[in-house]
Amino acid sequence: MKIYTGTGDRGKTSLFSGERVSKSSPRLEAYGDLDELNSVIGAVASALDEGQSGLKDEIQAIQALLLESGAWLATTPGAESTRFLKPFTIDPANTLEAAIDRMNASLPELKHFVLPGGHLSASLAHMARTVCRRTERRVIELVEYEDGESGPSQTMQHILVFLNRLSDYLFLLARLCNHNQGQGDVQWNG
Amino acid sequence: MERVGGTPRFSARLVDRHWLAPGILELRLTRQEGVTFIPGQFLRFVMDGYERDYTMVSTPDAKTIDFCIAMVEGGRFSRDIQKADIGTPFELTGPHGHFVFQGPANSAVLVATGTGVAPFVAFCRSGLGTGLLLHGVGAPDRLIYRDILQSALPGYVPCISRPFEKMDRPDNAFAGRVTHYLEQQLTQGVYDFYLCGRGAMIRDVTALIDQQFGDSRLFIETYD
Repeated sequence: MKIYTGTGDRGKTSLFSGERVSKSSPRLEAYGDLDELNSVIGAVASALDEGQSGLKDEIQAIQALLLESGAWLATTPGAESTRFLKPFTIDPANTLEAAIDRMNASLPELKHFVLPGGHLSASLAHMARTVCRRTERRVIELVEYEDGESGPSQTMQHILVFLNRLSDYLFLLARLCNHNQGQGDVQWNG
Repeated sequence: MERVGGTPRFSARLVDRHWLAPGILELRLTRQEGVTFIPGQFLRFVMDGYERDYTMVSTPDAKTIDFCIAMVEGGRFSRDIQKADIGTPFELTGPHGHFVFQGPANSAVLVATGTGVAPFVAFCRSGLGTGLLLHGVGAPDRLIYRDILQSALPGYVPCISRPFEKMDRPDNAFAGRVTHYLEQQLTQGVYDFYLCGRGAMIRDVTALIDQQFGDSRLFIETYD
């Protein structure tokens, strides 16, 4: 299969539900940022040591969920095509909460601000955290742009909760990466 | 029927094989109970060392699973399928794909080149009775499934790109490419376009849609 189609050369692309939209539309901005987030998270997984296969598997499961949420973002709500999408429930957010609690319990109590940095894997996790925050803002913009006062659909609400938890997960993942490397948090001495 | 990574995998035997047109074979395989799909979806043939995807031209409730396949000179599948005996089992996975009819929200404009007409044959056999179907071919003898399409869809228009004798011209045929038909004949409006065929056709028709039918929806399946 060829990678290029030439159908997006004039600044438009097709949503999964068929609409032709500008590549600068809020929907494209949202799932573009989600794609960027998934890529940075992939870099985090790549920077983990060989002995951290359990953590790598967990991260790759999160990447799969990001692809599933991306499919929802690439589809106009209520479109016929949504029948092909896997339902996005609150379960992924609950799973993240359990992982957050597990990591938090294994780390020393945080008594100071930390600087994003340290080991490469931790630095990338901080970068992923900031991209995650931006993605969340873009999805909120999309919901406000398209749904107005009616508020987000249940699926979009679940995706928003998932993104919100994911940035917390990534913060703790960054700390865990530094502690696993024996170097601890990079403290801010301001 | 087993599942591999969530996708059904099953075996089906070759029950019939015949030429639809020069270089285009129709294959019929047994349909095992439980094998189902949405018209427009494809199955993946898992061969010895390679895989090939083909869209069904039959309906989900038919006794056989049928495909139309363009033979490729030197192609492995073309070679293997032509020498397979009737009764030969094939391993398949699927159904795959999302190129299915999206409901009657807007008038449908189906545009195919060559064997890209396969999903539209399945649409028509499944009851699609309105809309425009342009089938682009080089010569009239490549108009596969013409009788089925013509009787199912009043808006069926063969588009023949190469010069041909007038006496060979099929009823209602348009002399020219599908893009020319759309430029010259399709009235302004909002449509659901379904494009299936070569990348060059899809690129050209998409450009035309963006220019002339901007609020339309577009669904694409590229055949390399």
